Amino acid sequence: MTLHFTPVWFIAVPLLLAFLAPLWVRWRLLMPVLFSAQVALFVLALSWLPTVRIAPILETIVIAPPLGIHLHLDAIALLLVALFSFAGAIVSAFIWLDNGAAHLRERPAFILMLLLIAGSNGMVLTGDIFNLYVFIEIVGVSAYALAAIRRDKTALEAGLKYVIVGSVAAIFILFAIVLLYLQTGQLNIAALAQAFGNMPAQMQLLIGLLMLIGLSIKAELFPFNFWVPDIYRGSDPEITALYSGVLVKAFLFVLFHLTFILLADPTVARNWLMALGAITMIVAELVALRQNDLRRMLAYSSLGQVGLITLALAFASEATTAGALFHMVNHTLIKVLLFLLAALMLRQYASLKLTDVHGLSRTMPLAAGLFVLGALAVLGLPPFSGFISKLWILKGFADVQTFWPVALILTAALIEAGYYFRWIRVFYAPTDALPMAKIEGEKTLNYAPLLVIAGLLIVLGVAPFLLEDWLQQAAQALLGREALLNAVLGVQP
Amino acid sequence: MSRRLPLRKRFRVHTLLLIALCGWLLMLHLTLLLNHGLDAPSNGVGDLYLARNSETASANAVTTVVVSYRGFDTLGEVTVLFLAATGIGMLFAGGLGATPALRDRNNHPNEVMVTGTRLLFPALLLLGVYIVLHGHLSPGGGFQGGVIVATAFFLRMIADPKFNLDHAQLGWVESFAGSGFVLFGMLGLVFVTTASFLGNFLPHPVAAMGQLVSAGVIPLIYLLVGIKVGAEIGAIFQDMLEADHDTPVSARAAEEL
Repeated sequence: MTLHFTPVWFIAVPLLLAFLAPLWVRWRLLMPVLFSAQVALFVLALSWLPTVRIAPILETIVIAPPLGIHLHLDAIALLLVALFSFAGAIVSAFIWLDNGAAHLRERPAFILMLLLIAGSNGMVLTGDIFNLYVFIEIVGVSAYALAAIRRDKTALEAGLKYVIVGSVAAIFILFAIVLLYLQTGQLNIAALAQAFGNMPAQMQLLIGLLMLIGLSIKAELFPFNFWVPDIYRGSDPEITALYSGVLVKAFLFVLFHLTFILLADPTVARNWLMALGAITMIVAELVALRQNDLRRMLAYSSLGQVGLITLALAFASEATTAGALFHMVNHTLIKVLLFLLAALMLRQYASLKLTDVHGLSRTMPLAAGLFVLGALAVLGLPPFSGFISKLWILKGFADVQTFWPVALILTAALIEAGYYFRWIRVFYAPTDALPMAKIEGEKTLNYAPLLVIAGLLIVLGVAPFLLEDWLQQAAQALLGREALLNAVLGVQP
Repeated sequence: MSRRLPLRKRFRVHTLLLIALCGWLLMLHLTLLLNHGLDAPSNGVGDLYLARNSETASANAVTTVVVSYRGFDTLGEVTVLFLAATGIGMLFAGGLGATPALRDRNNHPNEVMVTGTRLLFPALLLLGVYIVLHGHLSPGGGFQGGVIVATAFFLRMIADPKFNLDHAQLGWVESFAGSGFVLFGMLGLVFVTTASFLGNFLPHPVAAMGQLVSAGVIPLIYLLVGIKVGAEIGAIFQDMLEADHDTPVSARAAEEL
């Protein structure tokens, strides 16, 4: 009997811990368990890096791949699992150290957050399309419940909206899976990829459209993202940090993973997906310009960045993909930082309307400073990591003489600068009012997780070579259809 | 009151159009599915599962697929139910005071209900347990049996206002069953003979097929699923009946709505 560390640990351990919740409630260990579970999984992911660099790990569950379910841990899956665990660790550390928000430190919140991240890990790891759907359900149900967890008017409204929109999206995805199974008789993604080309062209188009609509709703792409700002405005900022940092990234990965593996020639969908990304980016940035509520502004800014990542991933060249993955990492870090800052500000100010936060830098100098740092990183200014990732994306486009995305991305960055500096100007506006008294429970310790992120943003900006190899390999893994089919099915496609 | 309203206010055109659109899409889907469903492929994974079924020594091939071959999906589905129960518990905890009381629990339930439940309760319980335990032999299993057991308790809750399921105890039962499922999976990983999550590490000789003790871990896992499903559905029923506690915060929230 030996103890195997295998990819299934990323899913099984959080499930076990969530099921054992009554035990943690009795021992008053909810937050420590949540935090240490994420840290442990993050460390586990990092410890696997050398192994996965050499060859992806394929774990069979009960019976071998074309028939059974398998988990596929390659460079990109490892990158995302590590990212999700890290984001989870930061958010849970923040909630743990924080004195407010008691409802986020109770049993339901513990279970929902743990399973939200476990489900995202599962979506990234699984190699079976029905298993993927099961994880989409797990992530979906926990996200709906988390949106409503504050149980006041706005939160319940957000939860209800999310349930409806999310269920509609899930139906689209499920219907596409049903059609895939009826057509090919396969559920394994690699086996499906092999059979996909033999289907009638109309059926391919229908399945593709259904998948695209379902996953675009979940991944918040235009025009299916009308619901996002309401939900980001209604839920707790700590929760929206997880939506923007973990949930959306998992769905983006699924969208592009399926595109690149099912289509023998991804350039078929290239123009469509790039257009989708570009429109999402421009529309979201323009709308963000007019937002007067900090959380709505951040929601639209998040949509804009998602559009940028989509635009770069859809181009399907190795350079832009690596850049997009780096930007994914950066965006997760930045949005977790900004949303957690919004949570801290919300503790001090009753509302985060533009007119209500005049002179915020007087009362919360550290928060205002970190906000500036996050804004500069999201704009892509050196020495922050956002600069490097945007540079990689732009270089990737420019190298192959495609200049229209470059122009769009730079325009979007300009608009972004417009609204971020508008907020920064308000934060640092001179006010006559005396600085408000510090509310109780406001500690420097609250800022510790945020400072970790800020440090990481600078470190990655100064020394991007730390991640460069990993990101290159992740891009190759995402684009490497042949290699994956070969690894799973053991035959040349 | 609604009679005084003009027609266009009573029927919202947008809503009706949306419903019509959804109906049309549904018809489209159904025709598509039926056209393709009739000549279903014969070389799909379903048939391959059937061909391999004997290796697990479970007489019910569906159970083999649900608990063993695709047991990981089942673990996921159990988790979805767990999340749903948690979410409902969270939303109903303390009751949404302003919702109309679902029923007045102090009222005496009618005689037919009480007598009927007295007769049905033991029979339902027995049927539920039977279905759970024979999941690997005959149609049914943990999900179906668990729901039947929960329904039996639900009838008692309705028939007897003083009968309550203890949330804390249900929580422990559910926790035991859920973690048992994951631990069984982990044990499969630990044993060298299977070395796979949810691997069937107990002896499952084909000769014993059709007996109550056969198919290795499959009936044990299905039993845990049954316990978990029963406890979760029971907890959901209990949450929904418990609408008469009041916590001021949520009551206010509900009034705002």
